[in-house]
Amino acid sequence: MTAERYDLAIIGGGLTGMTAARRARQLGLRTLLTAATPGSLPYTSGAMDLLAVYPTETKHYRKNPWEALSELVECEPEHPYGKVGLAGVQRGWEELAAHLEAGPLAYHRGRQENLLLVTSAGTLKPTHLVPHTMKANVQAWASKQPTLILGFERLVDFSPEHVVESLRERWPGLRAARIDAASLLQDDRRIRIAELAAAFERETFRQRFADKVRPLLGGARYLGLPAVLGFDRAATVCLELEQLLGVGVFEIPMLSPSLPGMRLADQLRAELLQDGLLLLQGRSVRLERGVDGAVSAVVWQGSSVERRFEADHVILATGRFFGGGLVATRRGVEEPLLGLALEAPASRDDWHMRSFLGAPGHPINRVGLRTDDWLRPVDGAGAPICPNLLAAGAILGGHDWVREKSGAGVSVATGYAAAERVAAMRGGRS
Amino acid sequence: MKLETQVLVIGGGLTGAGVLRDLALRGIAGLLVERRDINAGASGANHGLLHSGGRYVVNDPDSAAECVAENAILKRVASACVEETGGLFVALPGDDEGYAADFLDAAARVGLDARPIEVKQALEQEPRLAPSITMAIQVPDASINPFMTTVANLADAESRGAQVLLQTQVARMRCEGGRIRQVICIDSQTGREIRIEADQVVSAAGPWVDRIAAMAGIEIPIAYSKGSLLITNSRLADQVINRLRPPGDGDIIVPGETVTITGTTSIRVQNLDHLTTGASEVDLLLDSASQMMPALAKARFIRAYAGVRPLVASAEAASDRGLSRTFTVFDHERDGLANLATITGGKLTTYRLMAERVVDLVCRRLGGGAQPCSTAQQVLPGSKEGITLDARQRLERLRATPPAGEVLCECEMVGRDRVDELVRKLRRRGQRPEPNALRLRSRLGMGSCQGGFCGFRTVGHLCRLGDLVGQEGNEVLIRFLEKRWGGIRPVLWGDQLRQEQLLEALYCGTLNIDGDL
Repeated sequence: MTAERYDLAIIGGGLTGMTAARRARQLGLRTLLTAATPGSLPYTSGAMDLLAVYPTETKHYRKNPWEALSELVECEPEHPYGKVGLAGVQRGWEELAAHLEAGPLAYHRGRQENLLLVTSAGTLKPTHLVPHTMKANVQAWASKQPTLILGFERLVDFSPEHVVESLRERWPGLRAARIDAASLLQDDRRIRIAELAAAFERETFRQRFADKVRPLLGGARYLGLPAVLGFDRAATVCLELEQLLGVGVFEIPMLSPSLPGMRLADQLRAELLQDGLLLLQGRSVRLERGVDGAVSAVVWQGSSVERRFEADHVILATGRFFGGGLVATRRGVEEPLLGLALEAPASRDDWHMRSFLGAPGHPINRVGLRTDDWLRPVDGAGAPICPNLLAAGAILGGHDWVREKSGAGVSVATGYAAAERVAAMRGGRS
Repeated sequence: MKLETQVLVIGGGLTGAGVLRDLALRGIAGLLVERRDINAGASGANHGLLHSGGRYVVNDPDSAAECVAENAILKRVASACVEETGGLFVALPGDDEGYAADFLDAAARVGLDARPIEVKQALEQEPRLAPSITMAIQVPDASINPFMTTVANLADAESRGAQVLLQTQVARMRCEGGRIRQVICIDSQTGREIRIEADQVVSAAGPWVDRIAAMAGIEIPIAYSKGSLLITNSRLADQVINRLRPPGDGDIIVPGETVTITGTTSIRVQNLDHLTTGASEVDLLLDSASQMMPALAKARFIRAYAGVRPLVASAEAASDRGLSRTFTVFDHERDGLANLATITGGKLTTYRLMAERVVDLVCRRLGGGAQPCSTAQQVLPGSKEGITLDARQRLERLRATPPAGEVLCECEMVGRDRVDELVRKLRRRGQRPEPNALRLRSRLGMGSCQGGFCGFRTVGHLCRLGDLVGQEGNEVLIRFLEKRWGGIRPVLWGDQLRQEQLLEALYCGTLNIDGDL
């Protein structure tokens, strides 16, 4: 079996891996990306968080993410943001934000401020970068203008009444209504989100939809909908609905499945493929290590054949438990590719708090790989485990993105920084 | 508010429900009060095992004989709540062979139909059993749905004129001249006081009977023995599997509809209100039960829960396992109260007999022409010959032809129509429909997501129906999530941890439901 040679192999096709791949390509590295699963991005709201709660012990909401970030970097050097540094976070985040703003999903950024999004529970979710389809969501809440939240009969994952009930005291001009889209879709039991999304991409459907909704608007200045406004053309669908109805139209994040998260994943993946990146999907890999401990090859385990790739550097971006980057057994937590046992609370009784939603967050969520400043995982003594292996994203320990509302930021900042560090190591070597 | 009745029943578990129905069938007016919801205590935290008697046959033959009789009766009168799975007692290498001989002798003495079968045959029937088993004895164990059984008992009693007040807590009692004159209750939803006057009072409050008796100035010596159980997300056995050795931890595996329930432990506790199952208890159960069924070690567990056995204390018992599992009727006439009786101890399997005994006592006290007990003959609503519980078939049928209208709980295929029907029933009772109340009456939220997704859908639906208004939706949702968390937290590793990480990411990441913005 002959091996193909790459400058960099990235393991993990989520936001972290794709950000690292983008940066690596910009830096001219011959890069390979392997993705055993589609990653966690399709389960996210599509809104991208930078940092909104710090410190998590007090659930302190921070309007200005950069101010919170500079405090965090100062106080928590072992946090992934601490490893990357304020300037590093800024570089990675600004680059991707600018790219997404200019792209087909027309992302919208809060400059020095976090944005507040209305969710499908009628809660407010702080975030920093939202797709165009959620721009009017932020504006509607900020202005409290009369707004209609519209649901679909039989779409059980979105209840406009839940949204409105939860917010109506603070937003008197908020109303709920539902329409029956069944006449347009062939299913008498439930409405599938994918079918609705496909329908919204059709002009005839949008017109019929607008005709049905117009009489319900009353004096509403905004129309809020579940996140079903099409696939890759969502931003256009949203603009066209606004023209048809003469009001601001927005999407509201839902639990799952989440089309806005899928759209983002699809865009980033499509761009990388267009750029000629080798992307291997759907199978896991194993690592081969040489006598010096360095990763000598990444072996992609296809169904009938294995493909062996030699890479000068490897970035591990396999995520946490959900992505499969970490595995928890009754006995402890391990990283399966390197076979590393990770430091976790000794008793499972201490992995999680007694309260599900309380502060500061579950101790297990801070378990992960510890790294040196080069983002190379280190052993208990602080020495790199493999000289040419870096780690990025949620697999890193010392942070709790769920509670900090920092998930996208940690992925982007560390993915971007890992690729830059690989380039720097290569520069230093040559 | 003031209410009058002939007999006040305290406790909405299966025993209380059985007492209420027994009274109603004998033409006696009854009123039941329950502090929380149906089966909130031990009736909702057990194996769902309809004992054949085998578990007790060697150590506690009186309990075993009761089980033999009640097993046969309930298979007939509560057939819709019982799945006739059958059961096996299996021995592993090293288990005392003498116990097996004692078991068969003792079974013969109490009339338990226990038949040794070939190991090969047992392994064919239950392929996930450890191949090393050395012996297998077949018994008529069965699986029973305790929620359905309680609901059926209450519904039958209500159709005969009995009254049920849930979310109604006994606060104090007024006693005078050797009788309880008034029982003062609080409606926990409204805070309103309800004063109840009854000729007779039956306390069927499970492990809380000592607290109830104390309100009447009477002391009942009760020991609290906590038993923990684990639920897998799939059905690993079709029969009840017991270890053929003296009762111990993790020696019973019960197929409960779509899941498998493994238990139990026996740990003395002092506090009844915050039962938890720790990691070491989970490991003890798993290590022990997986000896009989190695697949359990790799199974995905979706929940742990614990109940308290009310054991009537006795000085001579060496351990709680040695305490009798039979029940006790306390006739408090001996304590100077002529109209209070307490029924406690016992087990799910003997609830009907327990009700019969205490209602016999009540009838003697009431005098007059009450009819004899007929609960051993009168079938429960929904049960009749040929109707048995087979959840797997039900689910397969439902998945092939889903219920009309939208499905709120996909794990257990609970449709909106069913939820709407339950909501109407709860409203009629004056009880607020919440996901947890719906869970107890359907199987909503009992599958592998444990309500993580369907809880959200249900709250959304209840907001639509107008049953939850303003902030109530998210308050109820958070309460539901925190309650389910108590059961999930002890079994978080492997795939269940992955699932829970997703749910935390959705609730905290996407919805910021943990925030206070």
